[in-house]
Amino acid sequence: MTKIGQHIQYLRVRTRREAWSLVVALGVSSVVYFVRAFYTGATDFSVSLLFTLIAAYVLSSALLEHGLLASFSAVWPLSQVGHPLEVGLGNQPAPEEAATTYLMAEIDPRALISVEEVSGEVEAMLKLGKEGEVAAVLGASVLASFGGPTHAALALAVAHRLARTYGPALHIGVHSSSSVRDRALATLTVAKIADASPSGGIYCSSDTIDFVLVSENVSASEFVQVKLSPEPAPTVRNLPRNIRIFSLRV
Amino acid sequence: MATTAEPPGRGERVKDAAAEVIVRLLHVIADHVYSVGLFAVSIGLHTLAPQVKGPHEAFNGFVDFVVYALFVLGSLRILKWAVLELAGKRQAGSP
Repeated sequence: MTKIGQHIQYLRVRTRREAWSLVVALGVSSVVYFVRAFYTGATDFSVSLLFTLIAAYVLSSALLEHGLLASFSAVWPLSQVGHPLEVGLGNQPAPEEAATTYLMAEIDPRALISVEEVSGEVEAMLKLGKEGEVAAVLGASVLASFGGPTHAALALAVAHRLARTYGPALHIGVHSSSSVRDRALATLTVAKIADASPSGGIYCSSDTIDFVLVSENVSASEFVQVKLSPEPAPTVRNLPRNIRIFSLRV
Repeated sequence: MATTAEPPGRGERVKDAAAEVIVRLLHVIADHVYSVGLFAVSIGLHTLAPQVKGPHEAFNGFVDFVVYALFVLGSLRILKWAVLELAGKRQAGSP
């Protein structure tokens, strides 16, 4: 996806939320209007009606923004599944198959996702990296178990697929050095994605495949707590030199 | 898997700059198209109101209410945009 395409997708999600907040505000205040007209006979545009309208708009807007009403804005599914989705495991002969199986087994049936489009892990990773594209998951719980580049790439590919379906909200980057990448991405995944909220998240970007990790929302303590390998997990303060931190906020 | 970053060529830089301009334009349109649309619908409905209104008082009041409500919502959107812009919460051109 190009940069413009990425922005258009983001704007589509945002526009959908805007539309819903307007509809909710207008709907709620219309109901109030008719109830008031029925009981009191008043048919004017009073101050109380104005406040109702403003309150409904502000409230629905805020709720949509934070994903609490995501189900109404059709950007719902993964955030509401509630349990992690495991991708790219162990020594499966065909990672795509394994991932598909897990996706189909764990996820809400309405959100069945196939990773058939991923033709190869290397290709997927290069594509993601070279195009400066970030994988994104909307409130999804993607718990990736990494055994190597294959799984990291697969997880990214799946995240990318999810992003194309549900729009960007949570961006994940990966470093090219496999050990650092695996640890860091796994750390990120466990620390943040499992309890990700649709609007909050991790925003990463990169100008090369030497990707980036971390966001403003992940505290150092969260990082340190999760150790998936015998080596200490990277912390915000103690990242290897070749990892650069970006913080992009939607 | 490591790759090295090559400095972008002139064509690439021009392409990036063009993409940046388009992205900014998209964001400006997205920021204001709804508000302008709401104002337009509000004004349109206001103009058509005499034809739309009938004998029912409640319905007539509702037509007026919708006209005002759309105008208020359009204003609210602009206000929200202005507040976010002033607070620096919005990063134009960065999804």
